[in-house]
Amino acid sequence: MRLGVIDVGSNTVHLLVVDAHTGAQPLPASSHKRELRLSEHVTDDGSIDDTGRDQLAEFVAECLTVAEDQGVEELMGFVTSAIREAPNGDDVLADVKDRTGVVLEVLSGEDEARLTFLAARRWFGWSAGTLLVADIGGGSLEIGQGMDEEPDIAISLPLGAGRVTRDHLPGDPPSEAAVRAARKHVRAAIARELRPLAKAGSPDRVVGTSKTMRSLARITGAAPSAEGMYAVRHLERDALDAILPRIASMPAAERSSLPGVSTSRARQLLAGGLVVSATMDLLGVDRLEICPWALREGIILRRLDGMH
Amino acid sequence: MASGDAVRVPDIPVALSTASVYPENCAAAFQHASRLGYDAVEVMVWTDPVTQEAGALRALAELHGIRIVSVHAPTLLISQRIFGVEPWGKIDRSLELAHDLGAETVVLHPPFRWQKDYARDFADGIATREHESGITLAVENMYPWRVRGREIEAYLPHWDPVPQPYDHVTLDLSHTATAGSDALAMVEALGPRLKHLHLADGAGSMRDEHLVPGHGNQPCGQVLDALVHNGFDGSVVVEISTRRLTGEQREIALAESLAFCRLHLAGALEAEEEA
Repeated sequence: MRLGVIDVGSNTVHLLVVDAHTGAQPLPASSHKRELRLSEHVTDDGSIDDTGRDQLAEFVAECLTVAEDQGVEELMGFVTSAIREAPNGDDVLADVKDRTGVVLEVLSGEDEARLTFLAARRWFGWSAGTLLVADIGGGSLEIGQGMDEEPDIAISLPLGAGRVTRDHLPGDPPSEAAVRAARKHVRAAIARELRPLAKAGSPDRVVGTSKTMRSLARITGAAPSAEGMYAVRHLERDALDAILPRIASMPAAERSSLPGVSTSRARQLLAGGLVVSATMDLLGVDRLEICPWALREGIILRRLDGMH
Repeated sequence: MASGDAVRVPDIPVALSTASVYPENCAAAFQHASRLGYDAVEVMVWTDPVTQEAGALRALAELHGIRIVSVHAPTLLISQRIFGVEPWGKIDRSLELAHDLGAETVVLHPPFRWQKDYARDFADGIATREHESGITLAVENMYPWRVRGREIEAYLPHWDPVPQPYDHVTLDLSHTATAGSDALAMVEALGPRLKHLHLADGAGSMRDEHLVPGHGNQPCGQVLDALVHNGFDGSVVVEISTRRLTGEQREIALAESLAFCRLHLAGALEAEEEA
């Protein structure tokens, strides 16, 4: 059967249609997405503004049509930090339900970490041993670690690339002082939550997911997306740290000329790099492997598990 | 030198890179070059649309009565979308521009580490293009990127062009400082393969500094002496960074760089003739 998943993130709203059968690898059938950038459609208190609300409802309605065209039997929808933290988030979701009939489920940060971990576990399998999975979204950074399908530790921190850019890296490019302050903020926030991971011991394999991770890996020499999802891609901390000062001094227009960096995410690239570098450094990780599956795949896999 | 003799200067052209006047634009570079007495201009292909357009560049060269000796292809980290994103397409358009301008040399950087396909055919590809176009393709020396005392190879096949099979090379004296290379040893090792000099200086910090020659620790004067001694038949291009300077300071930096260069070339010629 065909499953559809609508994923409402801070940057992008994305419909993924997958041919999913119990015991089979989920095969993506089509993908439909739009940059809504909900994280930029917020009022001063963090509420989603009317434009953001209208655009979201319109796009969800559009996804419904696409899903029907694609023969989707079951459509799931979920939202992450973009709406989770908005004071009027429930209101926006009720509005989307009234206007489209689609119920968007709110995932907690910990759920995000757990489902992303599941996707990475299924991708790499049991031979990966104890896995550490880091995912950086627009609003939050998720870290999960464990030796099973459920992580033993699941942490979510408000260090998404969009959020850090918005709150700590004004200017294009931001000043050196701002970059240093952002770096300090990010490192302190991660270090504060590090204890459960430090206690758990070192993982056998460290994995990064998300578009930000893929872009950073690409810039530091990983295979382009044209080589497909089975190409092995790594992100090395030394290479990342060598290129970060250069990214920091480039305005967004110049960053978007780097391979694998879209114009819409160019501004966030620096924040993403600072967060990933800090995570790797504080966890003592020299190199991580890129996993093409993340939260959406985790949700589909979890859904399939329930279909027995 | 006997009194009454004019100072003789070798016929090595001294050009100004349009990048040396940044953030002023390309038109300003022609004006500075002509007013200060440079022999020629190197065009750094950049976001300034004038640097991409042969007609506009020819008009500037005519207006200021100064020729264009070389084109720097947009192969920098920050010029990757200029002249398209396809690496060979960028080189071909740079060659076309050089051809339309009557420039004899195209300067280019080696591929970045993520450009694996381009890097694989790089040496053969430039040899073929050089042969077909009749224009010199001079690959520039770069430097490793450093972090925590470790060196990261940012370029393929390598930042150092000396052991690579390139027929022609550009030597940049700011990059030698950043790399910790021995510039004089490179001049000797390259011999006639050295076709182009980017005259600048560096104090050996991790940043690529592009200082006024004489302001860093590179053997700028000795390199110029060696060029005269070796019968160098390429061009010397002043490529300094003046982005943080006032207009007046920029003017002084550009004039000082030219004076440094002329003085050393003349001195070296005199020494050669006396020898």
